[in-house]
Amino acid sequence: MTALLEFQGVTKSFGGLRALDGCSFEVEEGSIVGLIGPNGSGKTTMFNVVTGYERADAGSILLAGNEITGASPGRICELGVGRTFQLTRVFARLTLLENLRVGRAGVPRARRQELFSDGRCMQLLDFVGLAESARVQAGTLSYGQRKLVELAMILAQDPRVVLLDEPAGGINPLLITQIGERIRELNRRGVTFLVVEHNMEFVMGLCDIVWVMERGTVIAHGEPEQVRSDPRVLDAYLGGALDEDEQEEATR
Amino acid sequence: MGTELAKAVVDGVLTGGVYALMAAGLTLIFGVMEIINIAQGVMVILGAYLSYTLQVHAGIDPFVGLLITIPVMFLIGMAIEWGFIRRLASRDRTALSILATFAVAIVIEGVLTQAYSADLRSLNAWYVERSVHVLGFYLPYIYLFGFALAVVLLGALYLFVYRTRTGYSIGASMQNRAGAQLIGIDIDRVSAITFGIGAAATAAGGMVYGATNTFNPDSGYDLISRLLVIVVLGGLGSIGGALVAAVLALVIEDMTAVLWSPVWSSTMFFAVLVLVLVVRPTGLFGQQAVRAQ
Amino acid sequence: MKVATRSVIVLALACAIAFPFVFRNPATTSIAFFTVLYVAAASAWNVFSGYSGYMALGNAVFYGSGAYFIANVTNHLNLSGGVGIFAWVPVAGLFSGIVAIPVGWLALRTRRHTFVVITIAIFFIFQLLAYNLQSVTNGSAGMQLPLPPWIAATYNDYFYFAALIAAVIAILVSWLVRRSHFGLQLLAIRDDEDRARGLGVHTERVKLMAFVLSGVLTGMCGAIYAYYLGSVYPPFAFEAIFDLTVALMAFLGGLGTVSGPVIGALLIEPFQQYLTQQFTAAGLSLILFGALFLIVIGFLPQGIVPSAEALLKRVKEARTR
Repeated sequence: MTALLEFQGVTKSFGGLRALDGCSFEVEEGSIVGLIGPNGSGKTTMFNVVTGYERADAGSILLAGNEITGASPGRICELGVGRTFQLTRVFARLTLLENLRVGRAGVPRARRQELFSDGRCMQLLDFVGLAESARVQAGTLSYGQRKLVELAMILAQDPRVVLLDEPAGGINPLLITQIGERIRELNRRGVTFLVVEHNMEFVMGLCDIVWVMERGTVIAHGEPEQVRSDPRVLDAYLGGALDEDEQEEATR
Repeated sequence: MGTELAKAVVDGVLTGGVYALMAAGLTLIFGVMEIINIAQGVMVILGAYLSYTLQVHAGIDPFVGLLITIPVMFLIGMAIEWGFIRRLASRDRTALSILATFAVAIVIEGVLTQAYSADLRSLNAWYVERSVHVLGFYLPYIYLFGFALAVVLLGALYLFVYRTRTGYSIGASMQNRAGAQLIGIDIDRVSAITFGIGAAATAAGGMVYGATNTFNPDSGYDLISRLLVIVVLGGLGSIGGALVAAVLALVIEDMTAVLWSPVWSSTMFFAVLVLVLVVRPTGLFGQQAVRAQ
Repeated sequence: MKVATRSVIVLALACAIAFPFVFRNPATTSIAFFTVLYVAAASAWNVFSGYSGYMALGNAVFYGSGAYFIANVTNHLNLSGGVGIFAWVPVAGLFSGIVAIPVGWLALRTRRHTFVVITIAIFFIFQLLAYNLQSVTNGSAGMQLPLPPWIAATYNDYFYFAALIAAVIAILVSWLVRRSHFGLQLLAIRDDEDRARGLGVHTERVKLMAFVLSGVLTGMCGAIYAYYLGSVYPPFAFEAIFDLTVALMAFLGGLGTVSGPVIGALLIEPFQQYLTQQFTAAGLSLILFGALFLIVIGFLPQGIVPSAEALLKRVKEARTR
C-alpha cells in the first residue's frame, strides 16, 4: 500500500519553543493510524500544520505524493483531508442538517449535488445515530452528541483521510465504543484515519499502526503491542515518575 | 509657515494628551470588560456641563471643580455599569454593549438638551483667555494646564494599575478575564471600578474640552467618533497605544490644516485610521486577536 | 411554504396597498411612508449584519450615497419632477453597491470589534466629504431635487408606493438569501467563522457579497428619501442615528430572521414619528427613544420573532404531553 499522507522533517517553533523538531512519519492508505505521546509532544501542532492552520518552518507534507505544505485550511479540505478539533465546535444556531451542509463549499463543484443531497445527509446523521434530531439546533445537544455531529460534518465532504483530535475525550465509555465502531466501519469502506488520543485502550484496540511522539519528534512506531512494551515509549511517558520512586527508595 | 507648523505640532501634542486621557478610559473599559462604551463621548460633554454649572452657578474654578466632578462622574459611571451593562448576556456581549451604550448616550444627550437647551456654551477662566508667548506664537495657558492635568492623571492611572491591588486585579482581568475569575478576582467589582475610572477620565477631559471648545449636547457624536478612531488606531485595549495614537492623529490633523487646508483636516484625522488599518488591521499596538469572538 | 404563512403575507400585502386609500390624511400617510421605508432599510441592514453577525454601524454611507447620486443625476440631466424619477432609484442603489465594494473590502479586513468602529469612522469620513466636496455635493448648501407636480392630498402616496416596492424587494432578497446556500454560509460565519473557513467556505467573498447587497438596498432607500424631502443636506443624508435606528428595529424583531426587521420597523417607526410630532422638545423624544432601546435590549435580547417562536414551541410541547 502506498503512503497517503507523508510528513518529512517538519519543524515548527513558537517563539522560543520548538513544538515540532524534524518530525517524520507516514500514514498508509486504508489504515487506521494512532498518534500518541505525552502532553506537549507536538501532536496537536502536527495536526494544525497538516491542515493548514499553522505554517511549518521547514520540511514538507505530502498528500498522495503531492506537496500540500502551506496550503490554506479550505484548500486542504478540498483535497480530501478532514479534521476534528480537540474542543468540539459545531454551528450552535444551525440545525444538524444545516451543519452538515455548510461543508458544501469545500468540495469540488461537480460532486456537490451528489454529496449534499438530502438523502445522503440524512444517511450520515443516521450513521451517527442522530437522524431524529436532524432539524434540531446543534447547540442544544450534549457534548458527546456534538462530537458525533462533527464527525458527520467531516464525512459529508467524503474525505480520503480523516484526522481525529482526541475523539474519545470527555465522553462516556458507551459512546467511545460506538465511535470506535463507526471508525472501523468507515475504514472498511475505504477511509484512512489518523487518530490522536490519550485513551490507551481506545488506541490500542483500534489502530493498525501506532506512532509515538515526544518533544516534537517521533521516537517509535509499530503495531500496538510492539509499541506498548517499547522501553523508549515507557520512558517517555513514565520517565519523571520513575525518578521520584527511585528517590524514595534511596531516602528510606 | 514655520511658526504655524510649530504651533500646529505643539497644539496637536497638547490636545492629543487630553484626548489620550479620554481614550485611555475607553480602551481600559474595552480591555477589561470587552465592551465598547459609545457613551464615552457624551459623557465627556456631561463632564463639561458639570464643570460649567459649578462655574456659572457656584463660581467654582473649573480645575477646582474637578474635585467634585471627578468623583461624581466616577459614581455615575459605576451606576451605568451596574444598571445597564452588567445584565448584558455574555453571548454577543460586545455587539450588545454597543447598542446599549449608544442608547445610554442618547438618553444622556436628551437629558442635557432638556436641562441646558441646544445653545453653545463654553468654560471661561483667566487661563482660557490669556496666552503665553512661546516659539513665536501665542499659546493659551489652558492648553498647557490641560496637558499637565492629562499627564498627571495618566500617571496616576499607571500607578494605580501597576502598584495597587485593585489596580492589579484590573490589569489581570485585562489579560485574561476567565483566568482572573478563577484566581478569585471579583469580576463584577472590577468591572464597576473600571467603568468608573473610564467615567472619571471623562470628567477631566470634559473640563478641558469645555474650556477649549464651544459645546452643546450634540457635540458628543463628533467626540465619540474621534475617541473610537484613536482607540482603534492605537489598538483596542492598549493604553500606551491610545496615547501614541491620540498624539499622532491630532498632530497630523493640525499639520494638515496648515500644510493643505483646514477644510480637509478633520477628514485627514479619519483617513489616518483607514490608512493604518489597511496595513495593520489590528491597529498600531493591537495584539493579534486571540480571543474568540 | 405553509398555507397559513402564505395567506398572512397576501393579506398583509393587500392591507399595505389599500392603506393610503383608506387613510387619506397626509399626516398619516407620511408616517406610513417612513414606516415602510424603514422596513426596507432594516431588512437591508439585516441582510448583512443580522446574518453574518458583524454589526455594521455605517450603512448611512449607502443611504447618503444613494441620496446624493439621485440628486446629482436629476440636476445634471435637468429632469423635471414626476413618476419617471423613480426609475433612477434602482440605479442609485447600484451606485451605492459600487461604493460598498471598497468600503466593504477595507472594513472586512478587521475583526468584529474593530469592524464596528471602522464602519463608524468611514461614516464620518463620508459625512465630512459631503460637507467638503463642494463640486459634487454643494457642501452645506445642499442640493435640490425636482419638485413633483402632484397635489398635496396625494403627494405622499407616490412615495409610499415607491417605498413599498423597495420594501417588498428588500424582504424578498432577505428571504431568498436566508434559504440559499449563500445565506447558510453567512449564518455559519456568524456562529463560528474559523470553523466555516476550515470547512472550505470562502468567508471573505461571502461577507463582501452580503455587504454589497445590503449597500444596494440601502442606497435605494436613500434615493427615495432624498426625492421625498426634495433636497439633500449632509447631516440628513448622512445621519448619525440612522444605523442605530435600523439596528434597533432588526434587533427588536429578531436579528437574522426575515420577518424580524419588518416587525421591528412596523413597531418602532410609527412610535418614532409620533415622538417627533408630539414632542417638539427634542430632548424628551431622545430620552424616550433611548429608554425604549434599553428596555428592548434588557427584556427581549433575542428579539420578538425568535422569542415568539420559542414560546410557541413550548406551548406545542406542553400540549402533546
